Amino acid sequence: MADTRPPVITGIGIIAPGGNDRETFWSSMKSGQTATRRPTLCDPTPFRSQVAGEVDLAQPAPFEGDLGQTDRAVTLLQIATSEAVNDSGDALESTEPERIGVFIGSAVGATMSMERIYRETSHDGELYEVDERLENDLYTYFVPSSFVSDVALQYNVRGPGELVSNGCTSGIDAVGRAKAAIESGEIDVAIVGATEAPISPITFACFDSIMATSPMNETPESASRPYDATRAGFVLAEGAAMFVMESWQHAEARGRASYGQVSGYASFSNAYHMTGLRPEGIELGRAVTDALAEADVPPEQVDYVNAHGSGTKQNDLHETAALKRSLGSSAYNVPVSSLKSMTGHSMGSIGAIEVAVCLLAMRDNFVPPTTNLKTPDPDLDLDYVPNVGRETRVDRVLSIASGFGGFQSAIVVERTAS
Amino acid sequence: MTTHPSAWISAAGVACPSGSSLRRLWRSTLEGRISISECDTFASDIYASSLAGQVSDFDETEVPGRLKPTTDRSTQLALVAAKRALEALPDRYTDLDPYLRSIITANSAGGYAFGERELRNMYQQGPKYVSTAQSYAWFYAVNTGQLSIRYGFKGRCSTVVADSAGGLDAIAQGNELIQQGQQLVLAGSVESALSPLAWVSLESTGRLTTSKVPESSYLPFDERASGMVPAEGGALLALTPEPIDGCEESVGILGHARTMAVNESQEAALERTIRRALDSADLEPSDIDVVFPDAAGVIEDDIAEATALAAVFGARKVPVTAPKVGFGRAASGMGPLDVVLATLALRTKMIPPTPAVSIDAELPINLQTVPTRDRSMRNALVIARGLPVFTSALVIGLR
Repeated sequence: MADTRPPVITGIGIIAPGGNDRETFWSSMKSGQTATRRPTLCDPTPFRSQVAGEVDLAQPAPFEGDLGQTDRAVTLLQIATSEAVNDSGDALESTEPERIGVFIGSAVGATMSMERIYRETSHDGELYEVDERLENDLYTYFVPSSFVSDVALQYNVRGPGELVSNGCTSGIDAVGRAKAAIESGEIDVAIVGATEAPISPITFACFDSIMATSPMNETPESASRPYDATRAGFVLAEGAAMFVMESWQHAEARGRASYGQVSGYASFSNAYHMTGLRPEGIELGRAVTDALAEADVPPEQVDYVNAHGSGTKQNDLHETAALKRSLGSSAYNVPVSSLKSMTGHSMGSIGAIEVAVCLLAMRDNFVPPTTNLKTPDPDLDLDYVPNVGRETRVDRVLSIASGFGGFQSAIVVERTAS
Repeated sequence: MTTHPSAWISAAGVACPSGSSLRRLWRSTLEGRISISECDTFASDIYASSLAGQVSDFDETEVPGRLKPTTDRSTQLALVAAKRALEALPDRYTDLDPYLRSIITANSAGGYAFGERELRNMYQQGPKYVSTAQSYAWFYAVNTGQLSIRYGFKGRCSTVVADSAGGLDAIAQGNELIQQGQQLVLAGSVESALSPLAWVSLESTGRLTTSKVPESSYLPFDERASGMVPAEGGALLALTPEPIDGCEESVGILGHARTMAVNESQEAALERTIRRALDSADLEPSDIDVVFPDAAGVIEDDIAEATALAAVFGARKVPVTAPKVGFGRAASGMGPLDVVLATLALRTKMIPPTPAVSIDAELPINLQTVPTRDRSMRNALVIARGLPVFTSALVIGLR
């Protein structure tokens, strides 16, 4: 039987630049601390942009299992999933495996492993026909739905499994897909979120070629500057955030408190350009309008907007216009901030990391800042929460994202109604 | 049972080694033609496996010139397949509000050959030689994005990855969107990953045949089965909330289920998925007139599938056919191609043959090896499985 009330989040796990667990990461974001730096995962010297947001895996992580030889995106996924599942209590144990699903967002899959294997089997590009290498792991890197099956096998999940790959909206869209699966009655519980580990030479090269990434190599800690007049592009990053999402009924039956409910979600395509955005923000605005309508939240009741804020001029103009178009005069009153100013942009996973931050913002009634916003762009006139976070009542949060391919998504989370 | 479809398959565009028009594909399929050959996009003879299903009648001039240098072959095949599907619709569908038109594609490899070429450029010549299109041409969402831009679809556009099961899941997602009010959804998958690194990745599964004889290379449900033949291709379906004008009877989506086989036998997971798909279609096993199975070509998987079919339908009760034996397995494009063939079977009342196969007499399935007319045929079940756990089943019907 489908539950008509929005599903709730009962477990959160995060590993991202700034912290290897939920609370460390959130503490770092609240204080406005940046985590971007000169990359260590590959030699950035040949590239225009030599900045990245990296996870320090050497630091302790809340994971006791065997990480084995997996792609780094899977390692991050496993750590975040473990934290989310532990945080949720017995959500999985109390549920038939057939009634649990796995939904994971990723834009580029196992890029690091594929590039490594290409390099090895082609002898650094020398061979056209690469060496035959009959190791099982190749295929798991080749098709990233292996991320989903890894989680399903680890947690004994037999319901639906889906990797959602919509560029940089993948994280939000995965949460939206899990929400739909629960609301339709297909499942009761979802392990959902996103992972990405793209810090690899080919990724730097491909964004260099369109000059999308920041070349502020001398000041890597302040290279991501959304809404700032001196911004110069986004900073490539990695990370994962995972959730345990349950139907309201399921969480209520086991007496579990939640971080909040996922009340609204919508997504449209701009059908315009694979990497470009129109400044009018029409489709993103429409996604916001539809997500708020589904949540039955009027614009004036939105307490915080977690923006895409990637650090490119076209995005800043686009989403500012989209927020004005969808929120009307309320757009000028609501705090809008960009997490990417601190973490960089982890592509397919950042949307999930941002949803996690929205839930924690509600829990602690605290809006994180947009760091590195020292010289506001005169063309932008919303309240971007420059440099210092704020204590304020937060009951309803909107998070938005734009992705290469024209994807425009919005999601609304609310404090769970009692 | 007379379950009513929630979405209608009103048109389709295909890219297939056996023909990239519906007419050519259906004719080849009924003839049981084998369209498998030595893979010639690279020197495949140096590898243990070398046979592939390659789309040979693709007309590159149909791809807009400015898109050629910035798209992978899989995207080019998808652009033309989508064009075929849309051309077959009445004008009112292509003139629809763009926000009521959605695209759901599955993809398992993205623009892989494009990405491999750019890796080669980078390692041979340096980062400055990487294409400006690399940031999107190789990723899994590329076909959804390019199709939405090319054909002006602004509704929900998304990409699902569930290995080879994803194509059926994409169609099911399209069905959901029609139920939610979308007026036209392009759903399905077209893939092509015939490049050296993709090839060795496929080989690493240990599931590719090493046969060098196209006519006896991919033999599901046959004692001689030695693995599968990878193919490029797939199909994009135009789903609508009503059947298009002028059709006395049309084929629509009746039900779907997807599961993951975890800590259970393959048979159990398959049986569960099939029963759930039938339940969602509100049909009994006896209502299904033909099954298009996954047909892995790997003996233990074929045994599991035959056993599951027998458990649901009874031993050798329901006709089963795997025309994909003629052209190979096109990753997540395989399921949508099977849906197209099942649609044509229902419309023409002809069950196409499974070519080349001599059925293993011990398997409890009724495999059709010659074309069979069935004038009462109404409902078909299509099954697709993806490594290592994904299983999807879709039920379609003529109404």
